[in-house]
Amino acid sequence: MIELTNIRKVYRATERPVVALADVSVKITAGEFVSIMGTSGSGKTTLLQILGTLDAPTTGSYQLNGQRVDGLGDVELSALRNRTMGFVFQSFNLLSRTTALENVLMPGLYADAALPRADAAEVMERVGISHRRTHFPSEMSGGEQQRVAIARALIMRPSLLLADEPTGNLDAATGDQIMNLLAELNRDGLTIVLVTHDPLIGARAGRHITLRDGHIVRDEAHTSGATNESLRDPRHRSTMEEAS
Amino acid sequence: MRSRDVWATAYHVAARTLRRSKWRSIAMGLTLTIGVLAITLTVATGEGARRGVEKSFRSMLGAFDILLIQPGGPAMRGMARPGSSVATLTPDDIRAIAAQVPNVRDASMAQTGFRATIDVDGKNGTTTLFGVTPNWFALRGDAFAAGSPFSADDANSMARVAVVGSDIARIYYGGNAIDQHIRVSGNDFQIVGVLAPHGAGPGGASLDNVVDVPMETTRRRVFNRDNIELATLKLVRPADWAETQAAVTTLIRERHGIRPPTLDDFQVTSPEALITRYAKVDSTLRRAFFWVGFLALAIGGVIVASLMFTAASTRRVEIGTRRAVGATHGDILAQFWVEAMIIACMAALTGAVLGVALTQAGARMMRIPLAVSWPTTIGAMAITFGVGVLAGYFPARRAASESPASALRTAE
Repeated sequence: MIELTNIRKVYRATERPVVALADVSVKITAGEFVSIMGTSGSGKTTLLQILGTLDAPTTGSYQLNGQRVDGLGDVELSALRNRTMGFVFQSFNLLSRTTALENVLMPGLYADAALPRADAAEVMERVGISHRRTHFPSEMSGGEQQRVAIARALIMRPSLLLADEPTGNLDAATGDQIMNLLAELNRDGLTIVLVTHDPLIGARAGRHITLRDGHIVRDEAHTSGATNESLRDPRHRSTMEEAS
Repeated sequence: MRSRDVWATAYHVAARTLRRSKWRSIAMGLTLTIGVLAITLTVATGEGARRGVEKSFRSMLGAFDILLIQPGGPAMRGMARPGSSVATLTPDDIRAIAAQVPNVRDASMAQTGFRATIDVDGKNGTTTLFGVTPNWFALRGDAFAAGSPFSADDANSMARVAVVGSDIARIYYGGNAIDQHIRVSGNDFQIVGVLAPHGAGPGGASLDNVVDVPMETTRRRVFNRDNIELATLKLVRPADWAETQAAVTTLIRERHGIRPPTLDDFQVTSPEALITRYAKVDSTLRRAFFWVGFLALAIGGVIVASLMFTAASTRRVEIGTRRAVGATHGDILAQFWVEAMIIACMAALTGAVLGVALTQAGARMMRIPLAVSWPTTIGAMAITFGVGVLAGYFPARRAASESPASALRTAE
């Protein structure tokens, strides 16, 4: 489904160019649940943004469902995101003073065809937030807000869900529920790529990719629930503080 | 490849955003509204004042192809006032002018008595009593609601006949004044004519509360004096009024034995000069207000631009999120741009509606001459919209130029 080849990303905003991704090649097949882990500055968010076409690689090629993505124009990329990708963010990124339903319907504004409200009802039911349809984000708990955000990500029926620290602003129990929901969606066939610094969260995925200084240093498949001793390494633990 | 309408989406999103933050929207548009309102109102008052001045002078003077001669020197400017009459101008002066100045076709004269008392079967009031030559009405172009002017014979025989203004006919006689008697300043007159209504004069007072009687009658029987307060010269060629004014001035100076540096004891004016004098006072104030309006539009534009720039930086997460779910660069540009345009449109409409409403209300309630100048109001609205287009474009461009990746990083 996804094929990244020799992806390199250099930021030149400052005087000294920052190499966010040095040379990353990775293949992700449809239906996978992949976690990308690493410390702050390891390049994991950059990798997710390149996967989501929100950022373009400096060099390297990106194929999505057999289509070359690098080199596409803004309009094509926007349409691609609209139709095939869903995004979930750490801070939920819901529009304030806007009902849950309207937030869920937002991608429809940028779609070719009008979105039936029934779809929103269905997808909100699916993520267990239909009782909050007319509530504003400020009236909802963090877990509920993230469910609304997931419903927004699913409304266009994407094949790929990209999540950037989706549990980062949630307590452990709520985060666990969100991870259960993502696991469920993955079981139903949705490809998920999740970025996290939290090894426990990362461990919920079927495949773990670890980045360090812009390189993939580890890429392992795990059966669900299995724990890897290396992930309990205190070095990784120390990165907890970046959540703040 | 995309069939959806970027602008329709932008309108939808922008309108929602503005509705969600009403106070921000009002703050953005308020100054623009004030600008349109100020321009509409000042031009309305100016337009009304100009029309009003012209109309009231026309009502008072009757015609514009004339020159006016009043007693009193240049120090006593303005219209004939009670107490300002100086006994310097005589019927002989005017007869000499009519005979000797070629451009003068006809001359009428008037003696005036302000605050003359009226007594009609116990009903009392005051009026202005005019002793006028019989050609007075024709020179002014006065229309008669009933009856007719008095004749030269009436004048010569010092007849006790009167032509009254429409107010007098209405108030004292319920409209049927012809052949009725009226007692003015202790003298009885028989009403032979009723003038058509004139409305208000330049000072705002009614021009219909008048009683006109033959000047020979007032000279001998009412005022017992010869000097007159006003003469009206009808010109053959109105365009040559300046030369005629000079000729008349020279002639009266000769007759009065005035040599420089002695100041004139009379004044020759044209209706144009009078109106210009009035309109000048008016236009200074108008111009000031007018520029206040434009200043408000300029400041309003700056406010819209700065609030939109603020929005472009405080709403980075929203921008990034919209981009993530499929909004194009153009979608974001249009969304922010349309926001500014909606504000400008609403401000322009509100300002114009308020301006027109206040104009109408003011004209009706305060009875001041106001007239909406549609070209100005529509022009002000167009400028306001232009300000919105301009003020919105640059912030919108900045909002759209935000890379979605960096816009989203602010959230994390």
